[in-house]
Amino acid sequence: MTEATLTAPVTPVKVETPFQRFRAEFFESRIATAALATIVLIILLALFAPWITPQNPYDLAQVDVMDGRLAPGSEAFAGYTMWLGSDGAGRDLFSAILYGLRISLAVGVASGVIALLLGMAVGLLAAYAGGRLETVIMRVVDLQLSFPASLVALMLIAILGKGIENIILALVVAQWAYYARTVRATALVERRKEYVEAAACLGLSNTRIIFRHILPNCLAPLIVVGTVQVASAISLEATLSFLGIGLPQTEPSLGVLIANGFEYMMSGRYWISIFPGLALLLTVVSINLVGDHLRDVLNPRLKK
Amino acid sequence: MKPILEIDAVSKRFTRTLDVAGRVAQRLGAKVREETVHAVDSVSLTIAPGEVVGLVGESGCGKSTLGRVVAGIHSASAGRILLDGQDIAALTGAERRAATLAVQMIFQDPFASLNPRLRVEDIIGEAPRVHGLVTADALSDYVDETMRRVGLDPALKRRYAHQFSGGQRQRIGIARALAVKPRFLVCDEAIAALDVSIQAQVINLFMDLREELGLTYLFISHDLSVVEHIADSVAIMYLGRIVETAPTEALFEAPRHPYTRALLAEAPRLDQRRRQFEPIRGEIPSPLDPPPGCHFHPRCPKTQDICRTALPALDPIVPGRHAACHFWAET
Repeated sequence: MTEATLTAPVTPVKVETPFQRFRAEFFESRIATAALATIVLIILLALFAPWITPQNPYDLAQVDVMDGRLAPGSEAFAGYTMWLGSDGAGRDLFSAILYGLRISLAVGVASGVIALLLGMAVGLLAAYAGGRLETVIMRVVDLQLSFPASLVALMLIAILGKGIENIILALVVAQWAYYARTVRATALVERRKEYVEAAACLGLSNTRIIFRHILPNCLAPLIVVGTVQVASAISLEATLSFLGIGLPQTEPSLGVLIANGFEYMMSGRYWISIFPGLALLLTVVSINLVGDHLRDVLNPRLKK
Repeated sequence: MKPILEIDAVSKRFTRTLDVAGRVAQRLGAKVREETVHAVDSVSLTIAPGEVVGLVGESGCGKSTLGRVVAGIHSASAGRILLDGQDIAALTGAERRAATLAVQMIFQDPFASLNPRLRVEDIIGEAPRVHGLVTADALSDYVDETMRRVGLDPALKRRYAHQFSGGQRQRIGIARALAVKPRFLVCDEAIAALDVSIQAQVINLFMDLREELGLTYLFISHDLSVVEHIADSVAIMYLGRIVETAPTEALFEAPRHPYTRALLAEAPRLDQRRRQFEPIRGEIPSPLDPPPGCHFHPRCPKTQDICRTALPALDPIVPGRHAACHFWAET
């Protein structure tokens, strides 16, 4: 018995909300907790990059070409230590990685959120409208999902050209279908439940039933898909940037950094590619671990 | 007395249409066809104010579908539902809304019938607020009053449905229906999922509410002993059709339809606990492909030739009593 129960004889009835229960179950897993902590740390580092990093790697006044290709731990001309070394242009890699994370995360989250909203709207429409409209929408989804996401993104970039907006657009087009399929499947299950019939019986409007009754009950799988899809958007963006058709040099994401260092790999200057690569790996793996665990916790069939 | 609710020749068909692949297969000579289920087949029933009508039948006989048509969840494929003599489907605007709210439903599954994401106060209070039955200021008190009426502690209104027991959840479902001030409740197996001790409490609650609020009930159940206890009159359904209606006492004393007789004979009773039960022969036929003539003829002990071809009408025997059997007079 814990101390709390001994010292507090009159405790008010504890009302455990679904969220509290979910939180408790989530933090039972140490790996997921560590992964979540890593994500929070990465986000904070990215957000506060200008105050943390010793230099702004894209302010030419702060970059000295004399510092080029220094090994990790070397001292820069300006006096600070480059713990992760520098790249060919003399940029401090630690600073470059944090600035790159900002762009990678922003692109991943922005495309994830837009794709989620779009897919959710389309999926709900399909589930609720039914009939021919549903058939058309879901066949489009099938068609979309039968192409690899990277191929769809490649084709779009080839048509639209480079640039951060076009990358986000390409990622949205490559990913909305996952959300649409997930939402439709869940919404179809939910709308057959008796609480939806009860809402119809109470004379509530269709809009109200969809958004207040069905949608909140579809969110759990959507959050899981969303988490995993943000990770895959980040790595897809890195892939495109690495291939040189993603973001331009002026908006260097992690993928651009890896691509820049690639040519030095064979000459022993491993750090220029490896450290941005590790940052990308850590980010994507952490998000995926959290996503996987979210799926386990939110899946009612795995409930203890 | 003028009836409060009339079910006038209501049918409900569910059709599964063929998709593109199915149509292609049909062209190529495959034996696929559009499938139509006659869940409810031309059912008529008249219910007087304050009455409790028990609707009894095996699972799959269409009693729940009929209940959902009455409650406005499904629209009827044919026929009309009249409330106070007016066809609900023909009403518009405020009148339609009033008619919709006047007929409410209590569901079988106390777990699936409450939205897991809403607090009890929202489950109960949403509809009255949306429809402007109470002002925003008075809503909290109104929810408290409604909860007290069904025997729930208003202090628990900030909780979620999953934090209640089955019986309490069913009370929440009843409170949700009562909150829009209905006059007619469709109870679809409303106590079937509850423990026996809780069943009695909920039945008593229904009967108390009937006295206090002057409610009328369509009580759908497969449990004859419950229906015998609470219903004023009973309608027996078999494969989408009503086969017999009668005042409760008369029906249990002298059933007229062979199906009713078989049902009553098989109901377990304390005074017959030693006897051997002889189940009704065969299975309930598929509503996809119902037998011609009287639906019950493949299982009926008295089948004659006419039963296989002619559909028996629901003949009046005495006022308030009908049976759909060619040979009701002989039994």
